[in-house]
Amino acid sequence: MRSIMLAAILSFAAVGASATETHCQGNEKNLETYLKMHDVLFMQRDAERAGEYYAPEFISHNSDEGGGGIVKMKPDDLKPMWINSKKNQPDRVLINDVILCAGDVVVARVTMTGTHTGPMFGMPATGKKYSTSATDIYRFKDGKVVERWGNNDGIGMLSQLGLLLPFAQAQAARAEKK
Amino acid sequence: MPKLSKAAIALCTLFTVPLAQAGEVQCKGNEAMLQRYLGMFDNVFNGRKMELIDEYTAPDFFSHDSAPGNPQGREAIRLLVTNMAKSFPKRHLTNDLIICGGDLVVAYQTVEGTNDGPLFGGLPPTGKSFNFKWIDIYRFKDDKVAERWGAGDALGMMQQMGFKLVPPQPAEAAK
Repeated sequence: MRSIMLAAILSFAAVGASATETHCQGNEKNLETYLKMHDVLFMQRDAERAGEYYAPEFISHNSDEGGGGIVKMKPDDLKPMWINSKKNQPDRVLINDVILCAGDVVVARVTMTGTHTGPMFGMPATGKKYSTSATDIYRFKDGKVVERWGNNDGIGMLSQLGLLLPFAQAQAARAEKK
Repeated sequence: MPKLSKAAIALCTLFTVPLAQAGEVQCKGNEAMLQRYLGMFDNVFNGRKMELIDEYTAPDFFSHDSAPGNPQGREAIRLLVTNMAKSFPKRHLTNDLIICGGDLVVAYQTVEGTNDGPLFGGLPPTGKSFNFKWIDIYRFKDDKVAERWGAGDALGMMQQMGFKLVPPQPAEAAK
């Protein structure tokens, strides 16, 4: 019951995934590159192939492991993101919900599901399953990513894993008293 | 009368030109939808003009990222705007990047503010400031927002306000 209440209060997690909705007419090349990258780097997590999809002049706007503010990163610097995820969450799957192309950018909203079988957010494994959403925006130049903006619903994920923030515990106690 | 009509034109310009300054915009061929987005952004999300929610959102508005148990429809937006105004009266959103395609508008935003009001319905304000990123995707139907996907670094925001993660509790871990 407590976890249901917490989910109700906190979770912004995605509601189930269905077929991908794609708006990329006239931008088929970038769409194709994105889909390959999605498969090789984010699904297979073949980190050694980072350089095939990320340009040396890549700039990351992400606040997750893939960056931290507006920073220049080499493709090699990104590898731990995929290596760690493959090692710690081997069953993680990303489904594209919506893909949108415009000019030189591709936007992808994905649903991410997996099991917390290894450390995540610096927290030990709980063995629990999660389903959360992430949105990323990629700028392509000559078939490679030169810029990336993105985020994911970390709060929704943590509340599903029970790695709660103190405010959540306080809120749960309040809700249960009612 | 020429003076008056000039003033009228100036007045019209003032109200039709969006106040929001966007960083980068990729909306060629979708200018009308972009203007509707910016109107909603200025008036509803930054301006918190509750009376304009119906103007910008469809009656059957659906959010894919609404918390379970929360209402859908226009009531979802009313609740969101009301709650944000209570907890973060001075919050300000900036569009860093806007992308249009098909019937969708994607906005990558910077969210800045201070927690000056009660948090999540009852916790005392932390008084702390935050600055984090958010991404919303809106589907427009007949000039109104009918669907939304949205998530952002709310975790980063909580951490900036001083909240910390806690390891699994023994009872939780045993489940």
